[in-house]
Parts: sequence; structure tokens; C-alpha cells
Amino acid sequence: MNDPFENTADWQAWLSRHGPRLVLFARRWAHDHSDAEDLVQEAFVRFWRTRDQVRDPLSYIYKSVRNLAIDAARSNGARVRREALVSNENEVSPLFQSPLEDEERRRSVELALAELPDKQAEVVTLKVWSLLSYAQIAEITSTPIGTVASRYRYAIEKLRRTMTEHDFV
Amino acid sequence: MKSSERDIDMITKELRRIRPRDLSQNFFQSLEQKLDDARTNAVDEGQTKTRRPIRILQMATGLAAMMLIGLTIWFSPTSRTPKVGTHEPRQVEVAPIASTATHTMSPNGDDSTAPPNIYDLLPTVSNYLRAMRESPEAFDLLMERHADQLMVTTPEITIDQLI
Repeated sequence: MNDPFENTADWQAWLSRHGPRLVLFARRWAHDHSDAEDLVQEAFVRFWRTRDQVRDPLSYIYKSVRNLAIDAARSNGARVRREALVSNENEVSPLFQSPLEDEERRRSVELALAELPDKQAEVVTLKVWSLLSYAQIAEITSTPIGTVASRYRYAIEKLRRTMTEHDFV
Repeated sequence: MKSSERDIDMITKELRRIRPRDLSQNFFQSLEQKLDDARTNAVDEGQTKTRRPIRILQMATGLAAMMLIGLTIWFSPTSRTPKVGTHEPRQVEVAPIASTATHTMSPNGDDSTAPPNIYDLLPTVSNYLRAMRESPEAFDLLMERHADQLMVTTPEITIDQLI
């Protein structure tokens, strides 16, 4: 079997494709884009050490990002909350990039995502932007597949309502 | 009312129109650095794993050597301490010195079984005590035998001390 991480060019190409999605996922817990990238890098290094034993690199790295992010959020919880209080909400770096004409849509989606319960937002992020299957999401979040599917359905329903209100659908 | 499959697909498509942010300019450079650090740590860990059995072997060898020395000392005849109540006083046969003053030979000329001659005894304190126990004559005999080897030292006395 070909190892997609055999040389630098291979794993850089792999990360160019999946990296932005991984960083978006890490933003669920990280304070900003830079912290989220650190989490992804750390998860990738963790994967790199044991890559011979990993069956599904993508799920493994997503799961590592999740575990690292939760651990970091627990240990830095107080500090992050303090920083969030003193920081201006308008200065929070965007989750997405969009052309200027879609700028309002971007803000609307980010606000709609922020209003979702954490577990639903997590499933939506993994399903919509990471393009993962329910089975992969179930493995990453350690949740039964049925629960993942129902969370996705509820989340989409809420997003549809929010986006209809803003005439984006 | 729950969303139909068609609604879900439509919303999903709408959401996908916006894309996650690109990675930072220095993302890969920073990651390369972290991977290099990880490789270096892996090499160090490998070397530590190689050194560990050698250290264990050295310690085991040292321990075995110490145990061997300990057992040797423990089982050596001179180190055995008799248990209380089981000790039997050692019987030391002391040859009569006076009787050996006259040297006797066996008929075939072999004198290995003859008791030691007083003239053969060394000028040690134990031999003098032994001779004293035997008889005053034996002691005098031994003294004469070693007269030329014995030296008596006396402390130096000055005139002032005498006065």
C-alpha cells in the first residue's frame, strides 16, 4: 500500500486539502485561528509518530484534534474565558473565507453555528465542511451513528430556519 | 415539521458555498520544525531504549558478583560462628618442650613425627609463654637460643631527670 506520508511533498499536499477543514473543526475549542492551527499541527505530529499503526489517518487526526482541544480547553479554561471577556467580539477572527459579495452570508452562517448546541455544531462542521461519513463522525465523537444522524438533522433544521430569516435560502 | 432529505441537501449545499479559511503562510514551516523535533526525540528515545538493557546487565552482573563474594565469605570455614550451646572448646595439643630438647630419630631416619625441638621455635611471645608453662629450664633454653636475636631497648635518661 502506498504511504501518502512517505515524503514531504505528499503529506504537504494531503494537509493542504484537509488542513483548513481540520483547523475549522479545532476552532470549536480554540480561541483563534492560530491556536487552532497549533492543535492541528500537534495532532499531525502525534499521528506521524504512530502512522504505521493507523488504519484511517483522517479519522485519527480529527480524533486527536478533538482530544487535544478538549484537554487544552480544560487546562486553559479560565485563561480563555478571561481573554474572551476583555476581547472585542468584532475582533474575533472569522471561521470562513468568502468573497466580498458573500460576506453577509459568512457572518450569518457563523452566527447560526454559534447558536447551535456544541454537539450539533460539531456534527455539522464534520459533515458539511469536512465531508465525513456518519460512520467516521461516530468514531471521532465516540457516539452511536443513529445519534450522529439525528443531531445532524436537528442542526440542519435550525440552520434552515435561521438562514430563511435572513433570506439566504 | 422536520426537514426532508431534499431540504437537508439544499441547506448543505448552501452552507458549502462558504469555505473554511486557508492555512497560514507559515503553517508548513512551523509543522516541519515540530516534526524535526519529534524525529530528534524519537532518536533520543531509541538510544535510551538501547542503553537501558546494557545498564540492567551491568547492574545484574554487579549484583551477582556481590552475592558470590558474600556467599564465599559466609561459607568459608573461618567465618562460621558456632551456635550458642553447641560450641566445643578447641583442643590444642601442645607438645612438651622439655622432652623435645633431646632430639630423637626413628630407626629409619625419618623424624617427621618427632615433636618440635626447642631450638627450632621462633622467638615469639606465644612460644615464650609456652616454654614458661612447660618449665623454667625450657624458658631459659629458649632465651639462650635467641640471645643474639633479642634486643632490649631502654628509654634515654638524662642527668636532670636523675637529679
